[in-house]
Amino acid sequence: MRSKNKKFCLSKSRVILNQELAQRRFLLRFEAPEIAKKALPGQFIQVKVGGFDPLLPRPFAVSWTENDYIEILVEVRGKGSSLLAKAQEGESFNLLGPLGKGFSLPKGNTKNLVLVAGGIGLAPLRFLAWEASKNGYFITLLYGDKNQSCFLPLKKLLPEKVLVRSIVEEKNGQTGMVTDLLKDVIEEFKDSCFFVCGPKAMLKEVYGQLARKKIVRAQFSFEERMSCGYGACLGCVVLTKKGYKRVCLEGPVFEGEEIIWESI
Amino acid sequence: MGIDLKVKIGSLELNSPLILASGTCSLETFAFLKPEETGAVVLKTVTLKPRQGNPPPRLAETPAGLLNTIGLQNPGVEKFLEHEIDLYPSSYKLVGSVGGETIDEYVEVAKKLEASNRFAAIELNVSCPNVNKGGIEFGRDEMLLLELVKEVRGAVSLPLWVKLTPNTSNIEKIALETSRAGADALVVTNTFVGMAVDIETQSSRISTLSGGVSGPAIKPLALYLVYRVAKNRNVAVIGGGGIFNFRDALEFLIVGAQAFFVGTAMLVNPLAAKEIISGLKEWLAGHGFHSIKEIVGTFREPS
Repeated sequence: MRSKNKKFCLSKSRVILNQELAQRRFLLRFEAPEIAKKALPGQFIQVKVGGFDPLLPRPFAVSWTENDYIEILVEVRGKGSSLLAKAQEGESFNLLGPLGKGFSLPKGNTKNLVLVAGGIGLAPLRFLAWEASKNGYFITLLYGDKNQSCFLPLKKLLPEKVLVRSIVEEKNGQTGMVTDLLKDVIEEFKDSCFFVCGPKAMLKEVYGQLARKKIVRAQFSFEERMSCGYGACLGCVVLTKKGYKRVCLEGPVFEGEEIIWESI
Repeated sequence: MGIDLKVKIGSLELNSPLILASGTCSLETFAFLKPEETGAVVLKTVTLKPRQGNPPPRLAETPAGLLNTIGLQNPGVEKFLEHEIDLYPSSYKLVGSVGGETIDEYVEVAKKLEASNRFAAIELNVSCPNVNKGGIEFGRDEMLLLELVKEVRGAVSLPLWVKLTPNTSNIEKIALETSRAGADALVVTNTFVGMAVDIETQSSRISTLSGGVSGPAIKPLALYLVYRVAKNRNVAVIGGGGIFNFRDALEFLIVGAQAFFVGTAMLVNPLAAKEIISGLKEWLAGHGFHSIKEIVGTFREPS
């Protein structure tokens, strides 16, 4: 179903691949040509799982596209995501997308990008990494996760050229969070452009570190409880300098400078 | 299948009995609608002054339900008329939803909306459960509600709809009095007040203590209220609450609603309105009906 003026479309799409990547984390590939054609890094789709319970569709960042296919990364958290994780190849779901405003790559001389990912927050940054590497950017990924068993297979998911620095919270030896990694390397990347996705507390900490170093080129992808995904219900908001903005429509990607971080 | 979809709500003729509920429709929604199949679209409630709305989280999903605490976020009537109203397609009948903290505010907003010449009717939101002042107070206090409806009735000439709250014990009486005070239609019903608790943190799952529940979970409750209000046949009733498919819509029409509204279903599936209309047409044709009107109020009381 699609009409001329629509920015996004609704499609019944088959699962082509469902692969367990790590503990409670899955990669789903859908055949969704219309969405694949339009999707940009940072945008998301809504996946309708079940009938009346769960009732609402679930938002997932587009994590990769090629030809007729799109991929999402699913972390099992509740009813919706656990049903989706059990999806059989060949099973169909209603998808709505692509939705929201994504990342914008820097124009001009800046060719260095730093992606900061907390756990499953890697999902939209992965798509960005593929697009950016096609366009000749140099990419460093800082990735932090809870432990080794949920650690995502970065080599499999990312273009070869991406430089990776990673850390886990629970491990013998060097442990910490992605924000600790950032602290160690921030000086090297003062002229880079930052792209950040992860839990809210992490976004806030990253913003704080960047702000202290006067690094202003930073885009943050937010997550919020959502219902429609296309701007109708005003349910998923984040407080900005211009009042509450919809994560689904004016976001999910916001410039760090736009956000009232005290509210996070 | 020549089913006549047209219905009359008071003096206002609508292309179809399907109305999009306030707060569940954005500019993006129109790409999924057809004007000839849409009775009216009630826009998000506007108030005299801008309202920031409540902090997030504003939503929590419950089994077959949606708990919300948006808190009437809107830019205020002036900005709304200056920047937003012209973006809406003129091929649809638009209904302006009015909120306020005082009777004067309701009157002023209603007058401004009427003066814009963009609206086919005015809906008074006297049933928002998520604001501290105004909103639901008006819907619960009969005397206040009557005064409000009379004042707005005297100030504007557009058809006047009043969206009632289900959170009251005497909806029949409130409905009767509201229609006597000059309402052209009663919209039954707004969300039910409810709450949800996060067991890990022992706190509310939304930013406020309570919110409004919508979705299939409230359908039987809303249907019974519509039945009770529609029994008094002096006023048109627009019924709804949890309508997700054409069968749900038929139930509301059968118990006496002349039209029905769809809200949460659109948030789940933007094609819900289209699907409901095509389902309705097919069912009515298959059962020998020629128009929507023929099914309205056909409910048979248990003997």
